[in-house]
Amino acid sequence: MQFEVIAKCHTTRARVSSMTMAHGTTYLPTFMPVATQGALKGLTSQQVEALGVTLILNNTYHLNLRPGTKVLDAAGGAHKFQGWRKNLLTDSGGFQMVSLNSFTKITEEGVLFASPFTGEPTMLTVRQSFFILLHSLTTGPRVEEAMWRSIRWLDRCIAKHKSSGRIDRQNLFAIIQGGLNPELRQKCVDEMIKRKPDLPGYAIGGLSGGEEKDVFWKIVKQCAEQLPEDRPRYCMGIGFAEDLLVCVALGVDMADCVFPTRTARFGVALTKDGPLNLRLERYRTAFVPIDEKCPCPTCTSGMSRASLHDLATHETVAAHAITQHNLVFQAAVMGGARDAIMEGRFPQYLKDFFRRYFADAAYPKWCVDALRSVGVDILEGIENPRIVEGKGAKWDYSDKPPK
Amino acid sequence: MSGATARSPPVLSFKILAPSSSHFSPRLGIVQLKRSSAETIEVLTPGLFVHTSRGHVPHLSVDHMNRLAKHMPWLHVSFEKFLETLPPTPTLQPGSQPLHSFVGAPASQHIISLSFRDPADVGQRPPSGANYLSGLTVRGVRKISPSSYRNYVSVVRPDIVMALSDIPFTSPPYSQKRITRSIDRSIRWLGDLLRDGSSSTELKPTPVKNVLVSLLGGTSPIARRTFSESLLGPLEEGGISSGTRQPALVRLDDNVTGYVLEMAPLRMESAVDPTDVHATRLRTGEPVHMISALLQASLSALPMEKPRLVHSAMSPLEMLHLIESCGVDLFDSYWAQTAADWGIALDFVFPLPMERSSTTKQRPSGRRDIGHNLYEAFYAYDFRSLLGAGTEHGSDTGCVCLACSPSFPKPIHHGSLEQDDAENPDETATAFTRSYIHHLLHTHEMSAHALLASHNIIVLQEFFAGIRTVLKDRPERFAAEMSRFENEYDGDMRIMEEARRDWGAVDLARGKGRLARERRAEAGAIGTAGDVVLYPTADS
Repeated sequence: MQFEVIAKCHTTRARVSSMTMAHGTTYLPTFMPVATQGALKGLTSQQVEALGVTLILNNTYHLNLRPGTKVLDAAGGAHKFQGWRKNLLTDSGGFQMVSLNSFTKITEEGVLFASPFTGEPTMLTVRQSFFILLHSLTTGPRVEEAMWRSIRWLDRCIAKHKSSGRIDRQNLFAIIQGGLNPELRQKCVDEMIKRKPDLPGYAIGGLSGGEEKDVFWKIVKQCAEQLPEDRPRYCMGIGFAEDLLVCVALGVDMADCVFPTRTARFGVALTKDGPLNLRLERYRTAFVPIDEKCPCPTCTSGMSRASLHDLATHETVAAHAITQHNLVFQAAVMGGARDAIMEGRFPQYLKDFFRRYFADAAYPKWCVDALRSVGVDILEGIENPRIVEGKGAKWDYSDKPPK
Repeated sequence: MSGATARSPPVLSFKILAPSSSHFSPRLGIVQLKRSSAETIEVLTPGLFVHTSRGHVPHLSVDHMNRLAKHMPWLHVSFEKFLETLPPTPTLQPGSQPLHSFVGAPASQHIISLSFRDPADVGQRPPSGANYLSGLTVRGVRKISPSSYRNYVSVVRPDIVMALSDIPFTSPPYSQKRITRSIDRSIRWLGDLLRDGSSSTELKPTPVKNVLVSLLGGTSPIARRTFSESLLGPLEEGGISSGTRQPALVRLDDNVTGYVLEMAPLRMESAVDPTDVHATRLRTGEPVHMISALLQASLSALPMEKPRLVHSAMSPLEMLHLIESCGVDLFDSYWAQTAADWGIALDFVFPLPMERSSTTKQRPSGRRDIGHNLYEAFYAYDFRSLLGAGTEHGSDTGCVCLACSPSFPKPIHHGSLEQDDAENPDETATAFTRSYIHHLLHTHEMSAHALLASHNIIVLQEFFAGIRTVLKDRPERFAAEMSRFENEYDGDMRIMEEARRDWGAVDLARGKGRLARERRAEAGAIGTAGDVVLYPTADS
């Protein structure tokens, strides 16, 4: 993997870089759509590439169960199996192991769990997975235990990876663990940095499990600050536009989340003015596209909000249409950030984005604080800004009077 | 308002290219739709029109529809689901082709025909009245009067309109009285649709053109003949309304563009257990002869130069029989799309090639399935394309669908960096494999159905192209080719029932409501996952 920093923001820790792997170049910062089981929900690989996506995520846990490694090997690998010719990242699926299984046994060898399909005991070993993590969202001694085990797994993984002879084709990212405890995080960061020569990239894991946003951004900042400059940094499970931009400002290069694709299936389209819940009555007669300026196939076809209102949750075509739009929205937010960073106007980009996105609602306080910590005051020049504690994520409520 | 731009309705024409030897023999034809402004859309017959739900071909997104538009020139839309809210949303759509715009089908590419009901839906519904029909919506039953249907139609401007008909959807059998009433009402409603707008209103609705009529009479040949003869009756009620008009009496049928046979209600009426919707939907084979006889009873009195359409034929063999015995011109693609919903990749050809190449499953009778039930376990390791070709880059898969001939469109650029190094990459992609789609089906991924829907519609289009070739080059061989086909493929379509079962099992395990079902199961028995050795979690 070739990783090159192309430009840096003069104020924040944001940067633009290129990551070139066996299946092409991906420009960072970027958002990675999630194709958990080898398909981005409802779309074909060709459609995903057409949206301008050059890096997607698969989940090892799921692909291990279905179709299974034998089928993937026989197919000639995950790329060939799903017809995807750009970059592909596989995640171990530690999160799913915890969230989808009531009985999981974690050993030095890997994770043993009951296959939810057959009930057979199934072992996800360090050999198969190229990202090892354990999302531990609790606090206490168990987190530390998990962290150290993850580090031991990482060592086994590195050894295995080296002996596989695929170092030139496959890149092992380590995942920073340590729950929500800054000291543990620090220990983990230190251990991971020691292994830098064997690690082409780093992921910040164990977050996005419903923790306080204030805790979240501080940990992201702590990790991103210390991770080596010449390695990509991937923050796992981040998908809201405001979260993405804050993370980028804190020095994160990549993020993934099922949010834009999942919310699409429930009829929610993402826009620069905030999400539109197209199932609401107010869109029934809105004969305009989601966003007239959007280059996605849905908006360029002229498909109206009214039409999507009629179809949402009834026909899969609505899910496809909104999924395509939402992925283009995510890509555009990140693409816009790249251009802004390169042209030295990223702080203004942040201000503009937040002003428009939260114009009719309130600025989340954690975003304001997080961005102030890297030298950008998004409230600058705004009279009597409304600020909200907590997550502050924007939602299209049904009681909002129509514009 | 006479100022409303004088947009003449599109002109629909049907030409029989090769004159058929008898009233019912197979024929080659062409449907043409000329719009006032733009080009002509053509559909060759025997041919296909595509079934839609809420105006969309299920599972095919706009970009896919765009790519496949020329393979689906004719879409059939049903209106009743739009009655969910009043006024129905498509009637509020601005523009000169509201229905086309609302469903996102460019008028330059697609003919849209509109019926009130979904012709494939034979679920029970409340009976119609003398002046209304019942429509099924997600918010319950909605009554609609023939005059409001007419208004909706004139507002949304479909290219072709199917007249309302009073088909009974209560449990059969139907009394003589019910059948008579069904015919009388339908004829009256047809007349109301075909006559110029009622003179009492100032706003004179544009005359409804390109009207198709559903041939009624149920399973009684006499009733069917009666209905057809009523079509030959006068357009003007009693023929007295305006004596100064042309001396020659205009008949209802003179303003009818074509005839429609709805197979689903007939199948229901003749079913052993009409409440078993799935069984009735799937029943094929023997009833097709009965249905041919009924269709002949309807058509015998009617002129032969008008197109004959069939809704909800459930197998290629049924289609062949109806072409052979009744000269049917157009079929909807409903069963092929249903097959896609249930995980079947169609793989059949007409006429059969000299050498057998099909790899579909062989039944004990020696006949093959018309496709692959991709839920079956052995497809997990089948890395061929849906029609059995290799999937190496550049290999010919023999099918232009999204699964067999995928291609990479130009990607959208989201930043200046991508623009700078935008190369022109190879657009051809390798075909999707049966193994991959098998995986998608078992993981309940929607992409499977997009790939299969496009594949099945294309295979069906190829089937009709094959039929036309035989009718053009060797019409005398048609019956022989049909029996070869009949000997090769399983006309009982057992694959449909098997695939539906497999689909149902995965849907139950992975589909909507899964979590609730699992919770319920868990409450009953701890250790759902087969009671293997499970270890307690470390602590907590």
